[in-house]
Amino acid sequence: MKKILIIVAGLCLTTTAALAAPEPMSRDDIINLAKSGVDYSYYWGRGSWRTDGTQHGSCSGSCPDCTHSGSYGADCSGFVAKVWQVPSPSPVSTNSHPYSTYNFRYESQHWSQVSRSDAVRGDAMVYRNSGNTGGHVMIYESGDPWGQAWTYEARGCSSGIVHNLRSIGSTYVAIRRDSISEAPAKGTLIGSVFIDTGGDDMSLRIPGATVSTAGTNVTARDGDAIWSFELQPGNYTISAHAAGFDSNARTCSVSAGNTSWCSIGLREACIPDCNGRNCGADGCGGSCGACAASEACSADGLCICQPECAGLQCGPDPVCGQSCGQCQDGQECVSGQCQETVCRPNCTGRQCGPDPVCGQSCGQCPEGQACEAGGVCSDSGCLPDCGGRSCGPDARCGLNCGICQVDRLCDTSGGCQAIDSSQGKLFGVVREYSADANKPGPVIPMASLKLDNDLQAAADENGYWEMAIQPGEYTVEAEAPGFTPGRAVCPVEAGSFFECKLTLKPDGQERNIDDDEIVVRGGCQTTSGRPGLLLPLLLFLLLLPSRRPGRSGFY
Amino acid sequence: MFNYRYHKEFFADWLVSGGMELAETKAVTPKAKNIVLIVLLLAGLAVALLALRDSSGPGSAAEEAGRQSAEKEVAQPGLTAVASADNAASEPATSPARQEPKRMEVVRRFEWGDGPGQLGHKIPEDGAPEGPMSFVVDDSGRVVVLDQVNSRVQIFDNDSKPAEIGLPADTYQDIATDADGNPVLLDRLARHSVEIYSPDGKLLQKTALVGPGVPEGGGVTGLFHRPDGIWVEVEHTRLVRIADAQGRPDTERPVMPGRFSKDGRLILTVARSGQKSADLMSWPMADHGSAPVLLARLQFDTRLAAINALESDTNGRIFIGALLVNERPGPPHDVVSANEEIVMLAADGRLIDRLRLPVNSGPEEQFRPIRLGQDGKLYRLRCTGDGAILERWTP
Repeated sequence: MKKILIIVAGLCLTTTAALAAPEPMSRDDIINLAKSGVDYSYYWGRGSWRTDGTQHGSCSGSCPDCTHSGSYGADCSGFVAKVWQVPSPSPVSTNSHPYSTYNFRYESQHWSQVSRSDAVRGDAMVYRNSGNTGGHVMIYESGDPWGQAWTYEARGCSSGIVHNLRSIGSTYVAIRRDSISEAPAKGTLIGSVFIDTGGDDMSLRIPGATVSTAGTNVTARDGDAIWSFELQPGNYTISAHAAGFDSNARTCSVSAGNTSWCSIGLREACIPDCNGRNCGADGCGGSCGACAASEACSADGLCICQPECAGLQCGPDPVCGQSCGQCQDGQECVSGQCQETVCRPNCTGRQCGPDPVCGQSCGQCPEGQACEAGGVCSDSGCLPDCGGRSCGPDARCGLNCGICQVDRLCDTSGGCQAIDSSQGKLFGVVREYSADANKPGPVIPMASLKLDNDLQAAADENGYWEMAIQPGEYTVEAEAPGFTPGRAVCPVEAGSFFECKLTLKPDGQERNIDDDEIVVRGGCQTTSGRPGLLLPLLLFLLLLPSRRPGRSGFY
Repeated sequence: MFNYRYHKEFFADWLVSGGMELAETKAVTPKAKNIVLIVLLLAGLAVALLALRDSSGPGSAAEEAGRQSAEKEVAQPGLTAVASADNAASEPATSPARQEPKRMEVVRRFEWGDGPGQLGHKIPEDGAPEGPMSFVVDDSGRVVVLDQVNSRVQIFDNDSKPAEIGLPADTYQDIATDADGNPVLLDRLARHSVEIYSPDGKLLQKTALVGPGVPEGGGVTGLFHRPDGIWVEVEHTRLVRIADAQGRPDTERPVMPGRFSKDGRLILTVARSGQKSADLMSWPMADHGSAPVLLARLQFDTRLAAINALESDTNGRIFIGALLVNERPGPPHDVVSANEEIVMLAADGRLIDRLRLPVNSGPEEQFRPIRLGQDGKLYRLRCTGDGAILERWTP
């Protein structure tokens, strides 16, 4: 009986309502009204809620024998009628329940049935059973990949008004409200946000990325990072950004009723690398800093002072103090220019030898001295080189390497040889005259010797001299700077030797006849060693005319 | 609680389920068979008369669709082979079209009601009609039915009296079981949570549904309990782990695409790709960040209204449930015939078999009426005029 009353009431209402077409509504209007009812309670036989989302009310029990608290809520047909604003516009907060599910299913006051496959956003799905004891109606929003439906519905007392994805049984038919003000057909722009690795690989997705266009943001969904926009036809700039990635944008076209793909790749954000660098590229398109005007940035990202060597050949540049170049040998740098060097000898502390700067002489050593390393004159400056020699002058300094035994002669290679049997040996030491016959005077080095005004020899640094000579008697004369020349007559026998003593007086001392006698008294010594014969022999020599000896050796 | 019986629906259901059962079991005498045939003829006449009714009136073609498809299933079961898959080249040599008609065997019948062993359904005057939303056939072979209309879970084990776990609400829509056999329940619209109950009805764990990865409860399309946690499917496209296996909330909420395959090797997803086609795609489990691979394109001979199941077994076989409908081409555009088709594919997408079944004869909404049991068999809980039928297909 109650059902009959409801049907009759519905018929009455629809008869009245059918007089005028409903006010035009867009599909967005329908969905927005449906959204505003979500979470309100199921209220049997009612249809109202608030747009501020408050005072949901509650339902308990099993309708129609259910209990409701609160002023707002709707059952399924009250909800759809209010969302569709049929038969006429009314505030959602004003209760109305003009139609039952029977009306929606079997009548067409302000709606008509369409194919389920043609159902679109804002249409409704309705069923009413053949026994007219049960029915349901809900607002269709969209389909999911399985073909199931996102709906807004007043499910029942326990659940209230919900938005949910659900199956739609084959008993349901689709209905569409009249007077839908169709907005220009939109198109769908869909895509994913992926990691741009530089190739064609789009498999690495970035769920949670924000995608924006025309002032609207959406979030790339979990898993496959798919996003979509419903847009009027046209070109749109789609931008995407996500933490850790560089933002990117691209322009894509949307055409009416079509789905266009517009996936966006994001490159992983570049992290600037300025560690240890104060200039140059940071690796991400930015800069690590700028250098001063006088500096240039090196490949290592360091500011390097640039030398200013314009017009300079050498010496430090005035900006950085770095070298502008080196002069050639023999040149010196003067005010940045290379000039020929004027050498200034440095003989500080030197007496002789070349100066170390210019190679010029620092002086000559006195006679008898040698210039040692360091430019110092020294008496023993020259170290004799007597390698392999036992007598005679050394090869380096001309100093005596030794004296042979008295019965031997020094040959030209510095060796001591026996006196040739056809020759004799004259030798002696040139000394300064000493009045004390027992105290010989000091030796006179380097004295020159003449035999019979012809044959010449030289004493060594010790005043010693010797020579091999044909047997005979010779007048031997010695000369030395600062001394008056002196003579002596010395005989020599074949295979024998004779010491010929020569003494010289310094210049200025008067020389008398006794001098020669003194010289003679200098004595000779033969190999036979017979001094008792010396005096008569000397007298004999003085009385005999001089003989020219033949020379066989001399040094 | 709600136990509406309509003689037409009852009759049609009897034709389908009872007739099928008789045919399957053959536990009838020749005389009884003759009686059945006579009744079938009468039923055909009755259905033809009903079909002639004006579509503008109650009980027209839309409501008859289920019954008609049911009758077709009895009269022409060979229809299961009409559709074919794209990868027909790899189809077995013995086409399903040449095989013997396939049917689901009836495992158990449930009367509508709120007594022990009965299941609740509701057909409200002005609200969403509901049948048992979901069920599970667990490791022990127990059938665990979410009898949410009666605010309870019923556990059927062999033929003994079912165990019952009372629930605090009638708004749950999906069920799984944890390692201990406890029911794990999804309430996506009212309580917005996943809850685990003990056998004595004590709430063990409760985890909020909405959070990262799950923007609103109404978008959840499945509940999965795995050793690595409790996952919910969102919009049939992705999985979000919201809790560990014990039901403790997962603060990280990792996201995976698709749906796990039972053999653990693939992640699967299926989507309508046309009025009469659907694409099955997959990712290797180890590389779910890559682009999915098209495993198979399924073609149907009738408009694919919706996919309503995606299951897989430990052998890698994949089962897809599809609701196929024929609408009247002009107003009122009601559904004149509807069928459920189960497509079985190998792990590589090769078509193995197809099975066409009648749809619910009533308007009851169900959340996941087709499940693969732990025994590797496919189960369906179908609503009829006077009760629900648990059917099983051994592929």
